[in-house]
Formats: sequence, C-alpha cells, structure tokens
Amino acid sequence: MAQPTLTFPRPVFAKLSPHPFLLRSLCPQSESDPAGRTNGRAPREARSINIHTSSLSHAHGSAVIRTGDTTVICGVRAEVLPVASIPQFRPRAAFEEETETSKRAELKNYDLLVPNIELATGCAPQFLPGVPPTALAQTLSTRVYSLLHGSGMVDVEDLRIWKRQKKEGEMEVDEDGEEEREEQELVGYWVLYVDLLFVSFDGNPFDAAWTAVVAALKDTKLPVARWDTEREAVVCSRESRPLKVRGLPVACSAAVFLEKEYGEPGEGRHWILLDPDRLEETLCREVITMVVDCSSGETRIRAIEKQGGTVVGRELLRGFAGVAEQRWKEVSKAMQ
Amino acid sequence: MPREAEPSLNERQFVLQALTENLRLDGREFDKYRPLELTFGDEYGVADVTLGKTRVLAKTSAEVTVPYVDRPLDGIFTIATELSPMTSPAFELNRPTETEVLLSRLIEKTVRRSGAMDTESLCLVAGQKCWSVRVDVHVLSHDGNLTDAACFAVVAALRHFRKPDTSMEGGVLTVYTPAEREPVPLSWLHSPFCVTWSFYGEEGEIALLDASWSEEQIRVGSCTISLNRHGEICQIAKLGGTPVEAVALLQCTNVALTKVKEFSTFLDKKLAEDAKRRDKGGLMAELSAENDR
Amino acid sequence: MPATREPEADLSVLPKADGSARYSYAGYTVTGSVNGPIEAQRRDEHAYEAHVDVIVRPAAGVGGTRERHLETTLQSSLTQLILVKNFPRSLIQIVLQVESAPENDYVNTKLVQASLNFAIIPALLQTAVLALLSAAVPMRATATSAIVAVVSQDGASELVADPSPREVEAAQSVHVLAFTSQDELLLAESEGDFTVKEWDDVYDTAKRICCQSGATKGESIEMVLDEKGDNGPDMRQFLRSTLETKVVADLYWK
Repeated sequence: MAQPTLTFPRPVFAKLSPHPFLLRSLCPQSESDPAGRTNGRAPREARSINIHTSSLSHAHGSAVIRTGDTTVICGVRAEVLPVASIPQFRPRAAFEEETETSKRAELKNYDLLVPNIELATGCAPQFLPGVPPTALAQTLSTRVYSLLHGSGMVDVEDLRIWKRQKKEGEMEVDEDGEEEREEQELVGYWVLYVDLLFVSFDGNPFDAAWTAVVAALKDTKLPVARWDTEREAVVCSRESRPLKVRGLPVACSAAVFLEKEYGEPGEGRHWILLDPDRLEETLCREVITMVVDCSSGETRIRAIEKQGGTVVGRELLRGFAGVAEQRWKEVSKAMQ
Repeated sequence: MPREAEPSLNERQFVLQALTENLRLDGREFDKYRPLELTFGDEYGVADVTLGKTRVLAKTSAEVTVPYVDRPLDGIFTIATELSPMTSPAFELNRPTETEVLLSRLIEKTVRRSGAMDTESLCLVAGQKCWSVRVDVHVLSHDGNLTDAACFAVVAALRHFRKPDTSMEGGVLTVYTPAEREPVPLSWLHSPFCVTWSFYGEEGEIALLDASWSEEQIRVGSCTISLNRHGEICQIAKLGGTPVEAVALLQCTNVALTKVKEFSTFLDKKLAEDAKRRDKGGLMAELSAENDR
Repeated sequence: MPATREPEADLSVLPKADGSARYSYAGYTVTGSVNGPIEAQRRDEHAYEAHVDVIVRPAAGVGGTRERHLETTLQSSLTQLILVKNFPRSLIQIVLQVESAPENDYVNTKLVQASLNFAIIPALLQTAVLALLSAAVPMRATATSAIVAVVSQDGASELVADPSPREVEAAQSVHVLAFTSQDELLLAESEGDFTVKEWDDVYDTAKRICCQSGATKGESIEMVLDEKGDNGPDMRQFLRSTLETKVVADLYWK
C-alpha cells in the first residue's frame, strides 16, 4: 500500500501558507504546468471591468463597478449651498483674473467636491462592524479627494449658481440666453457629495473606487438652478443638464511580490502583479499606482504613488507607464 | 501599552527624607521654579515653553465659522490639550487619561471661563459668522508641573497671536489675507496664570512649588491656584488628597501672587522683545498693541 | 520664509523618549520621538516582526484623514528601513509633531484640509530617520527625501526644488521622492499633470539632492563639499554631518 501523502486541496493550502502557495504558482515545477497567479491570471493581466451607470434612482449620478470580486457603488448627490452659508466666502474682485489655479482653489476652499468612502461591514473579513473608519478607508478617501481636485475634472463654473438680473422689458426668463449686458451675481454653488460604498472587497480598492468616481461623475446630471427673486431662494427646474467632465484619468495599480517572504528586500526574484487581489495584497509590501489620462491623444500622468519597497526603480516605473496606458484603453472602452 | 514605572520605596523615602531636611533633589528652594524659558515661532501665535525638562508647545489658529445656535453673539474659543505618546508611551491617542482630563479642565477654567479673552469681539455677523480661535497644546516632554507650563504657553500663544483683519461693506464680509493687511491681535482682557503647589508629609505641612515628575509621583496632595497679576483669583483646585490647613493655603496664595507677577512681567518682556525683532522700519512700534492690563 | 535656508537638526531633544530629533527646513519644523522596541498591543502584535506605528500630529487642529494617509505612507517606508525582524512581537512607536509649516500669505488657511499634503512628507521622513538614529534602532539603510515641483512659466517648464506653498499651488505637478542610502527609490509620490519625460527630469533632480555624497563614494568629504555649488542642499551629507556633530558632542569626554 502506498504511503499516505499529506496533500491539501488548494483553498486549504492558500490559507495555511499563502506565500509558498503563490510562489509555487508563479514558478511551476514542470513544463505542463503553466506559470500564473493563483487566480489564474498572468502577472500583467488585470481583471476585466464591468460598469453600470444610473442604477441609483435618487442620486444625480451613479455607477456600479465590478472587477473580479471587488464591487463598488458610487453615488453623486448634489446639494445647493448658498454663499451666505459659506463662512469663509469671499467674492472675487473685479480686477482679479480667473485662472485655472484660482478655479481649483475655489473648489477646494469651499469644499465643493466631497468624497466619502465606506468599506461595508462584511465586504471582506477584516472589516468589523461598529468601528470608526479604518486607516484604509481614510487613506483611500484622501487619495480620491486629492485626485478629484488635482485632476481638474470638474470645472467650478459648472457648479456656480447665478442670480441674473434681466434688463427691464425682458421679464421672460430664458436660462440659456447668455445676455451680455445682464448683471449676474453669484448666489450659491452645487456641492457634489461623492459617496462610495464597497459592497465586496477583493483587493485593489483604489482603482475600483476611482473608476467608480469617474463613471458616476460622467453620469451626473445637475438640475438647472436659478435664483428666484420673489421667493429669495434658489429654485431648480425639472430639466437637467449633464455635468461636464474633463478628461478621463484611469488608475492602474500593481503590487510587487518577492520570492523571499522574510528575507532582505531586494534578494531573490520578484514579480509585478497587476491589479492584485486580496490574497496578493496581503503578501506584497510594495505597491505602485499610476493614474494616466490618454484622452487628449498624448499620455499624461496625473499621479504616481509608489511606496513600501525598493524594487521598483526608475526603469520599472517608466515601463509601468506603458502598462497603465494599456489599462486606460481597457477602461475607457468599458466606460462607453 | 507600557505603563509608567512607579517610584520604588527607596526612592520615595529618599525624596521624603530629604524634604524633611529642607532639601530638594535638584537643590532648589521649596518656592522656586525651575528656569522658565519662552520662545516664539516665526509665525504668530506659537509659543514654546520649557520649564526645566518639561516642554510645551502651544499653537493658536483662527478661522471663520458659524457660531453656536445658542450663542449667536459669541465667537468660538477652544483649547485642545491632547497628550500624545510623545509625552510618554503610556499615553494612547483618543483615550484620555486622568492627567489629560485634569490638565484640560484646569486650563479651560483658568483661561476660558475666567474671561481672559473677549469672545464677543470674535463675532463678525451675529448668528452667521464668527471667528473660531483654537489653541492646540502639544506636550513634548513631561517632567512634572504640566499645568503651570501649559497654562503659561496658552496665554503666551494667545497674546502673541494675530488674526486676519476683516471688514464689512454692504453686508459683505471680507477676510483679508496677511499679504493684504497686517493681521490684528485678539482682544485680551487679563492674563491668568496657574501656580501649582504640591504637599508632602503626614498633614501636608511641606509645600513645594513646581514639583518635578519624581516629586509629583509621591505627593500626598496638590492645589492649583490660578490668578492674574492684580491678585484676582480665577480658580482654586484642590482635588482631594490629604487635607491641608486653611492658613497654609492662604500663605500659598500669597506666594502664588508674587509668582504670577513674575510670570506676567516675564511674558510682557518677551512679547516686547519679539515685537522689536519683527519691527521692520519702526512701523511695529506704532502697531504694537500689547496693553498692560 | 526663505526656502533656500540650510536644513537644521538637533538630535535627542526630548529627555524622556528613547530617541528624538527636531528638524527644520524650508519653513517646516517637525519634532519626532521614537520609543521602542516596546511592548506591542495585542491587535498590533506580529509574530515575526516589529510593528512600526507612526503618528503624525498637525500643529493646529486634530489629525484627520490626511494625517492618516501620511501615517500610512511613512509607515510603509519606515518598515522597509528598520530591521523589523530583529524585534518580533514588539512595537516601535514614532510620533511626529509638526511644529510649524510655511504659511501662504496670499490665502487664509483653512484648518481642516482633506487633500494630500505632499510638501510635508520630506520633513516628516527626515525627522523620523533622524529620530530613529538617535534612538539607535537598527536600520537597513537611512533615507533622504526631496520635493520637486514643475512650474510652467511662459510655456517653458522649470523644476523648483523645495517649492513654497504658493509655488505648490500654482505648479503643474508636484513630486516627492525618497531614496535609501543605497540609492534605491524608496518612495515616489506625484500629483498634477506631467509626462514620463518630465518625471525623468524630476527623478534626476531629486536624486541629486538626496544622494549627492553617494555619487562620490570613497572620496573625501571635502571633495563633496566643493562640488556642492548651486545644486541645492545635499541631504545625505546633511544627515551624516548632523550625526557626526552629535557623536562628537557625546564623546567629548574621551
């Protein structure tokens, strides 16, 4: 009788010793065994992305993103903020020129774009109920906030609500009639609350969250708002117009997997795993995220974040731009 | 989390024995403070106070906000004292210890409740806009007598602080940036300081000023007296501990007054020096608004 | 605030902490303390290595999401530097207290800001490394960091090292890079709008600031000093000289 050998089914092996499990999968012993990640993907292969928009009926824009087992819902809700309720509001003096910088500062100073991220209880085992937002959630929301403001996707002009005083005899209100001589006064802003909820979490949260934000913003339609002089309030009409979104920044993340689990960093081989899942994320220290926008025809980088290790140097980062470009094509296709 | 080591019996006895022989570990007299130092930062409203090895940094900031609904004519004035693990690994973030709670209450009572700052002057538009002035107290190192050092730092930072200038025109409030208009000082009414006594002995008959950390750990009681240079007492806190003779406490108050006068003069001197340092072309001599009240 | 001012640092400024440092440069002043290895809490305990806990405290206001982000960034970088495997089941606690940050005279600052604060990362990292050295925590390497902004003026872009808050605001892109003492890229954070080519230039500039003395390994220190010229501060040399000064001061009795 043959010796009973100690064998485990794959999930048990993965739980017991995740590092050797992934390592073995990446460098197979025999020819017949193709090298690959435990999730069946090639190292530079990302999960396909699935986007659904306008699924929330009470939000002004929404998107549901699914990549593998990571699912995020993003809802954009617009609220009217009268300038009287902005404590630090300061009207722009007539002589001040409006620049891209001043527009961005306006969005930032008055907090007109407010992202919030929630990692739902149970979306992954590490998120427990009844605890304050985890460091991960806070870090993610800072990154989304920063990118949202830094990428200049939303123009503050779109969010301004004006009080237009027509000249006499022109009582008929025509919203889009851009009359040169009419006087206009800024009375309020639209504030966009961008809420993200992770329904299920299987690694690479930033890419999914950011894609969801972009898709939801592209889907956002703001009601036409104007100042009603008689009622002294902002009124919205039933018609709405889509929010203008400039550019299409796409985030692309990867993690660096080292051959030696507890060895010195830099020893042995390493693999760059694109779009890591939860198992891979727990085994990798070094992560890299690049946000690119190729919508203008030229590849513009919007953000780079690389931390937690020393494997990725200049050359690898440069090469990664190409990988990010590829990812941009996939995501922009999915967006359509 | 690691805890602070308690003094051993030997240490305890050594200090106490010395005290009965009129000696303190660092050779100070009983009513002497350790050398007090104060430096202002490059910006307005930053005061770095060292008292021996105790070091406290206070930073004042102001921003325009909406006033509380129940106090539409008042500005907002808050003092935040959070001890970080920098002070000692025994402190944990977001989990206030007794030291921290006592410290913040004493400073709150001394500075805020005694009306040291005119909060009504912080109101900009009644019920709509007001200044929110906030002092953050950062304890960098704790070697006893945190209260006195922190209180001194708070008062110094507030008196050094300048908030942006504002104007109202046709119902529109404009907050000027420092580049447009020189910032203005806060409306300050009086400067209260804390003086803490520590008591030793069976009946608390030995009283020490400015106890160091090792002395603080073995005291049988303490009393913090807050008053200004005019001898007006803002608060007295003797929170439990061995009962102390009323007459002795009176004596303590008298000594406290002389100390407060010293503090007050010291702070005035430092503020004047700093104003001189910032003086560019003699303009500041006119703008200097440090009143002596 | 003159941004060209030389960096300054004092080691072991706090009497009670295991190690501490106060670092100021380009308007930033940060005090850092290091305690460790100390007992870790159950939830932070790791069977094979020390847990590195980084706490960033702003000068004014309470720490918010952006401090959490800074903490995460620093923690992942410092874990790489510290020989964490030497201290299983323990905690190395690093507290970084911001004392002052350069102010922009042209805007009224808001207390609570949610966006990333790139410009402060080099000061925080440098302080943390100095404090760790002062606490004699064993490390694989030290690290130096630099911030470079790409400012476009009249169509031509220009690289500005240690930009002022005003320059950061108007910049096309802002980059923070950190290198270990073995010239490896430890941290790269960029934001704005730029191309791979621009990033390459930024990389060169940052590397020159961070690793100058590394480029002339084996040569005498005087040589490095001569070469300095207008290249901006030499962070690695600064780190070295700070420690040398401290060691000389500590061993004066010998």
